[in-house]
Amino acid sequence: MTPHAMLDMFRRKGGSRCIEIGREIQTYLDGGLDPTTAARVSNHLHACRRCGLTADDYRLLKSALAETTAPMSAEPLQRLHAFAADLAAGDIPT
Amino acid sequence: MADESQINPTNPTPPVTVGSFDAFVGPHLPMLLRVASSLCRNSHDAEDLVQDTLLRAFRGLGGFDGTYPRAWLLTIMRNANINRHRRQRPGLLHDAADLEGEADRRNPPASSAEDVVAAHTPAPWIADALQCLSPRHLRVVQLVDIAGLTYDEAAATLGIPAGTVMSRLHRARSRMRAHLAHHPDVRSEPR
Repeated sequence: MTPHAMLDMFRRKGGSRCIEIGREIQTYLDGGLDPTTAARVSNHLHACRRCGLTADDYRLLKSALAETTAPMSAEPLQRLHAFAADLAAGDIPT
Repeated sequence: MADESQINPTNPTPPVTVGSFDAFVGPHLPMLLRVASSLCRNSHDAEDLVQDTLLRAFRGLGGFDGTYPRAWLLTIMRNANINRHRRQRPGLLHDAADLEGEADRRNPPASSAEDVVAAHTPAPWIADALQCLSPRHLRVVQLVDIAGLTYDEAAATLGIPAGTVMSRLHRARSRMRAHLAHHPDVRSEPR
């Protein structure tokens, strides 16, 4: 095999590795991978700048989305608690 | 994602009696109201949907085995929501796919995205990203990333497989990431 062919094969291997890891990044960040796969993804994210930055993007996005949760006003929750208490006390609407 | 201890079958909810119903559902009310808000047009409808869910849960207590209380309540909410739509548009809804289509029609992505961030906007650019999603993709983002449901809980709420929730969620995040790639508030550092 010529050096160029070997280099080409190496690049293709590296590329396919990133594609494979790229499919797992979101599940990894959601905590949905088994420990072995999670460790493999984690190692790659530390070693590969491009995939690491992709993971950073998703972390930022998830964190920002979690923060969009509006503070809940007390009144509706109080009414719902009262409704549940009424049910428990036998006051059941027909 | 939700706390696993809340859905772990090895840590089942103690037997729920009629008299302890309010103590049982109390911790789940904020989650139920948040999910209902993502399914309904306004806060009044959302509160009505939670009340309907509570009433159905109370009547169905005898069939509850004590495991997965959140998924149980969310499945009840889903059925209550289907019935609600049936009452409003009788004869049009037959299954979960119909419900999804009806919900999409009622909650166009623009107004839903605005509603999501209207009351509390820590990152305004998120509103832009949510606007680029289809109603179905927006809904899974609302349920999982904003309301904090697990894939399984979102699946129970929407009546679709957990794998579909995951694929929609991943596609939605990819779309938002692509949308934000050139946003001035997000891309301040050179890549």
